[in-house]
Amino acid sequence: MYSCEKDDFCVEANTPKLIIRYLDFADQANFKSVTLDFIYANDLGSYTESVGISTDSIAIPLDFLNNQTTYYFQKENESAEEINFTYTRENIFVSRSCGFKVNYKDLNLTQITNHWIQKITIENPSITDEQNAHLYIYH
Amino acid sequence: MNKTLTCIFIINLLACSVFAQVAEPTTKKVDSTPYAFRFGIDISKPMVSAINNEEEISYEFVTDVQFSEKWFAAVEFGSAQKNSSDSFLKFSTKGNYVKLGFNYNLFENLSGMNNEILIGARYGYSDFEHTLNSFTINSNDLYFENPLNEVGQTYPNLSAHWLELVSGIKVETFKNLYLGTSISINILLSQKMPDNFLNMYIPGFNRLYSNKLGIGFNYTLSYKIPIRKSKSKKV
Repeated sequence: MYSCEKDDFCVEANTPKLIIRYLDFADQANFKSVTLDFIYANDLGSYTESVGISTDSIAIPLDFLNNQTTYYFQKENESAEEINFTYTRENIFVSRSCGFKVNYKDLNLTQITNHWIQKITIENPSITDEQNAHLYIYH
Repeated sequence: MNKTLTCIFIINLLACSVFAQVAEPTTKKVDSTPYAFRFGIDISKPMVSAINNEEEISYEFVTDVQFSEKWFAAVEFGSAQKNSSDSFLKFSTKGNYVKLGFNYNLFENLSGMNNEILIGARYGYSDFEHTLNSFTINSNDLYFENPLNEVGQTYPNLSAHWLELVSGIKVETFKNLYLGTSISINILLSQKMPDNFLNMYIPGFNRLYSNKLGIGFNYTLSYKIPIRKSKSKKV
């Protein structure tokens, strides 16, 4: 009551990431894996959690200090694809031990370059959890 | 449960067992002053303020009126200002509170003794406000910079109603001067919630556990003013 305050731990979900799934542009009902050599945002270093493995889905964080993040997706043997994401941010109070998380709304994007990504669709413009894909990338 | 509370429990238990031994022989009760007004302060709160380096500044006044041999009407009121911090946020709360209710004395006094083992209940009300001083966004990802946000946002005009179950003792140390301690279990009845924040501490109720429960205690020093002497039976 007066001394120890941290007697519970955060178990609720925190700030969600952007969930992306890769689909086959030729056969748009099918997922198609990608191996990224690099993925990085703005002028930061490589986001290591999502590189070097063949996968049909990735989760990447968005900048919670700005209303936009530019990501560079570099596929094996391809040039880096530059995509600019814009969104609005909302600080949501979760609980005492979890504090505030950020929800992103009104997701929009611009594909700056045109190397290996054929098409991008926004499946859910509100990023409030990590249950389902927010974005489909066709290649 | 933390150490402070454990200590209070032990002190209460010891005091109760001492009383129980003293109270053994059943002699004829002498009702000396069934009607009395008592006024005092919680002496633990200034000490807590000093120990806690002014993280908490609070005071509480306690009053009760004895209106029969066993029954007391009780009122406590006070004010609290407390800083709280957790992993991702720091906030402060300030407000006032009042508690109304009754105590029942379980203790059978010997002739000339005026001690009490009390159980009782209170209705509590507090109005208060929180200020969110700073927070960091909860993200398990360290890729982007996650600075401390200094905000200073206030959540004003909040209130809460609750119920307390109280247990305590009061010992007459000098004539009409009482030392007392009590512990309470608080159950929240209703609250006015801040928008996009939570009532995590409520003045008078203390920290809110599981959005419903709280624990309180006090150490009081109080002075009794007899209102009317009843006819004392001379043996």
